[in-house]
Amino acid sequence: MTNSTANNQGVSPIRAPDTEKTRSGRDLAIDRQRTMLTYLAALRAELGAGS
Amino acid sequence: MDAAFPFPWFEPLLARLREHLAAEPFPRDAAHDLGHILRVARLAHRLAEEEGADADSCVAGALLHDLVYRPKNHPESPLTAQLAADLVPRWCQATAGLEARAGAIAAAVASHSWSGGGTPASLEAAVVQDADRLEALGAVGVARVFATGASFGAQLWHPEDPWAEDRPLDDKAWSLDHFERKLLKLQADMKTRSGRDLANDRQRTMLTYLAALRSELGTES
Repeated sequence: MTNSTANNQGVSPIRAPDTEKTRSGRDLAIDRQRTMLTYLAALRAELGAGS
Repeated sequence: MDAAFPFPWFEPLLARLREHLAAEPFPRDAAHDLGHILRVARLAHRLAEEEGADADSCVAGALLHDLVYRPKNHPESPLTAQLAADLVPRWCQATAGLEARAGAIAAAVASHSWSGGGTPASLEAAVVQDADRLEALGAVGVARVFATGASFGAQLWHPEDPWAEDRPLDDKAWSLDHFERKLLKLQADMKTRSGRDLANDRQRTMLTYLAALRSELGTES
């Protein structure tokens, strides 16, 4: 993965729950945001793992 | 990063490697770029220290392990480990500090790959193989599998049967199939204890990701 792709995770996707127009959409977005944050935390740990 | 590699030969070898990568005949996909090589080198350094292996040989082997690149759908792709190993003695002879390690490093490069089917014959070769396999696992592995698939035209997953419940696995067509076909098997084949420990963590990360994906794909179907 390129740095720019990784950095994009901090721009639009992470703000998604605030921009959803329906309650159901917001609920699903919150779950998916949690999934992304869990993934990014693991990625951050791995990228630091060998250094 | 320099502090992580306290070898006098490291910077000259890296500079030569950068020149080599810039002049290659095939453009590398995002999963096999210099970043991948440096991450494997850092993992190899860590594993070497934890296993008591020769760190110079392990890190140099990691830096040179993908010296020859062919796209995954190229007929020479399964041969790249041996093609790279054939170049290693010349690279080591031209790098002060690595001359005496040329044989050990070439052997580690030759046996590192999954598709090449090599079996490491030394602790240093085991470290290089484990370090490269760790890169196929975890959050990094998830990013790399979809990047590699995209490079040769694979789709993310089968639109009607993503989990291959009623069809044979085909990871040339569907990147998600590569988890079952290869990635989830790597953990059981790690050669060092330190590598296995890290692989366990990364396997858990992959399974968490796959569970989330299964849930999302189920929500939408």
